[in-house]
Amino acid sequence: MPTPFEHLQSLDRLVHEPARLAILVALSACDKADFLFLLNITGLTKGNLSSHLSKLADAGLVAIEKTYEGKTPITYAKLTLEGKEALKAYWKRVDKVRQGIRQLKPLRST
Amino acid sequence: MNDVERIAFVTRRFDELKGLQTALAGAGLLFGAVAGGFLSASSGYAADPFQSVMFGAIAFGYGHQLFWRRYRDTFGRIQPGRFDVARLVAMPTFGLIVGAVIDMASGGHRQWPSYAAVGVAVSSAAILIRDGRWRPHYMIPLAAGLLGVAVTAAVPPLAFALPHAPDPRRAAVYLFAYMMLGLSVMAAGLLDHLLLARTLTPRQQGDSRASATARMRAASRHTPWAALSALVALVTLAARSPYMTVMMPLAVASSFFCLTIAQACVNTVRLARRFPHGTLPHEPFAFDVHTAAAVFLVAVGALIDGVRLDAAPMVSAVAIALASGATALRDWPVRRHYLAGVAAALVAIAIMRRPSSADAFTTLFFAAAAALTFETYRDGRLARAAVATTECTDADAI
Repeated sequence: MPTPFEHLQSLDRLVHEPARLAILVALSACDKADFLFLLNITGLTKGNLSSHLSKLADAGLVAIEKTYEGKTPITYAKLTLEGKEALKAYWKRVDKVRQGIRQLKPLRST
Repeated sequence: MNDVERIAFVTRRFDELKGLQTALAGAGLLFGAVAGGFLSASSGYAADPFQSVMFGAIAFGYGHQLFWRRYRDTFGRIQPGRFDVARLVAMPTFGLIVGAVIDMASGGHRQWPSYAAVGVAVSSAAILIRDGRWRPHYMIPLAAGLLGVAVTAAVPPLAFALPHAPDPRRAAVYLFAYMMLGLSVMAAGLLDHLLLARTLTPRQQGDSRASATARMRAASRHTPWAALSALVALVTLAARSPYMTVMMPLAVASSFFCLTIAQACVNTVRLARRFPHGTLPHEPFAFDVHTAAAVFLVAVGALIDGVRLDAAPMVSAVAIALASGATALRDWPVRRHYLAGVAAALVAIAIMRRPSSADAFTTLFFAAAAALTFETYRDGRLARAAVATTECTDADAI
């Protein structure tokens, strides 16, 4: 049986990073969200958010969709099927870590 | 983990947490009920509680026009997931709107509880069951809804009441129930909005002068509404007709409706001129906890006065003076013109000692609306001047 630390090591680092996790969690709660909404909900700067979204898009977890409303460009981000699976797998692993920690019994002092 | 849950919750309930439209509908219902009670108290006519429903509906429509674009431009946009019946029932205003329509259709001539109160109680209970951890403030509309049900079910109708005229006994309890419902829905809407704004907006780092300018720009949008209200109140005072006095809420609601249509037409023309690529300019929010507290203070004052209709609306006048004074002090000296609201309320208090409660209410309404017209007009001028000064400074820097 793997130890909790082995589960911890197996966490997907792309998803585990707090800013990217926040983006993925927000996107998992809706169909799609625009850049301004993600900026507000994560509290990141424009540059940081753009960089994290690029990483997630490169990994295929998020799909970026660019449209126009009048002259205003709007960038939507959407969680892909792969992204949904990755997030689900991430929460499963976190749960396993928590379960593993609960099952640990302190050593009895002799 | 708490942050992650909060992000998921706010994203999932984003549309429902845009609470200012709900708050405005509640404020409209409260104002309509209080005005209806006061204006009929000394006129000899029975108050029609459904005027207040109409006022709430107009306020709801105005709120949509006023806030929809500003929410979108300030907080961004999402495409929510699947929409189902459970979600519809748990919309904050769903129960109120459906119940109020059934109330209007049934006329309140039978000993049934107010459907609006039942609707508010059911919607609030649904929200509490689903989101109780994040939105415990829905206990307020739930309590108000249950109280409204109890009060309206307890009073039997008059045996000889005419089918198309309001039953005076039932009308009085309906007005009381609508006051309670209006205030509670308003409180829940404001707290929803504050939850959304606190989660989504990063803490303001700018100087207080810049945020005062934003607040002045936001307030200056209300000048036409305040001016129209003052005009209707002035005409009502000048006419000295009991029938016109009773119909004042309907006159205000109708004039607001016309103004909403006129503004929608102006916006359509402005959009058409910019076709095919144009959009209307971005207008961010400047609605914070101080503004919410000031608005809520006036609403509580109105409710206290509304419960004791025989006296002049002194508590409302004091609340208006306090709210205006607090606004002036917060943005002193830029918005010291808000002392006009304090002066208007004090003058109204002095005048209100003599006339009937209907005239007293109309006098206070006129004084407050006239002061608000001046304050918001001045806000608009100062905001434009501040923007022009900033542009000059930026140009000098280049």
